[in-house]
Amino acid sequence: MAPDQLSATLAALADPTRRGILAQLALGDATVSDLARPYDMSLAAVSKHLKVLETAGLISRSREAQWRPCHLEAEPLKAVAGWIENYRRFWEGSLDRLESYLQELQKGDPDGTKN
Amino acid sequence: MDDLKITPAANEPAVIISRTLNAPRALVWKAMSQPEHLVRWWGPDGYKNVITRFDWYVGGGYRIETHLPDGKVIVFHGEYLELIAPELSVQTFGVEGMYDGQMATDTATLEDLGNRTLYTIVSNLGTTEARDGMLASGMELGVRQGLLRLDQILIELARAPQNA
Repeated sequence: MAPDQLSATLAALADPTRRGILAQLALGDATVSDLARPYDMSLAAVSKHLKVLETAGLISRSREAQWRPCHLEAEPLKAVAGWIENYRRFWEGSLDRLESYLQELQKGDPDGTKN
Repeated sequence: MDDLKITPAANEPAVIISRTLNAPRALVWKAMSQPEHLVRWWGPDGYKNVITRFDWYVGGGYRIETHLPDGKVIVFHGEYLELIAPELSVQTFGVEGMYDGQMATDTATLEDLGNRTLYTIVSNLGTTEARDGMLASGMELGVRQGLLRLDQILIELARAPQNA
């Protein structure tokens, strides 16, 4: 995944309303007013969130139907999930190893004050 | 205690990794800031490292060749932007040949919990342009409380029918 796409996806996900919208769309296509229902915000505000999600490629909107239903595009989310998984694996492994190494170090240097 | 957490940041294109380590902060700092120690734990089990650059000062940088068990080699490199012993390091993070031209910025903090240390890394992937763009478009960059897990969305996604 291109890094630009990765940051765009993460930026779009960095908002609870947008995550809620995605979770709702995971259950099926929905219109703006369907999506706005759980939130105490104007349709315009919800539309703004949808625009961000659309720009990030996380949703698409039908040009045909008058009510322009929103559709979840899962690919970028899967890509970001895959990237996070690799990252997690690297750091989890490193920090496990750091933990064991620290135990080893502590035997000779209990408080970390030697060089 | 293995309490590793990895979460998307609430208000920036970043992920946060945190874990409690059973060692005093000074010792954790030492393990991060000295190459003979870093080489022993960088990367998961079975990964072997050759550190070809280690200039631990602001404006300096690092280059680590990590040899994977399958023979592949990953080269990590970056620069140090801020170092405050024994609690904070800010460094860029890149992988040669994979993310050329775009570096993440990793902020690592060590929180003193007595004989334990909370190690937190915030890895920001956003370019300055992307962040400025978000600010300019008036997107909600207000402080969001707490961290929300991506997991829930992914669980929902896994349930969603494909190509529906």
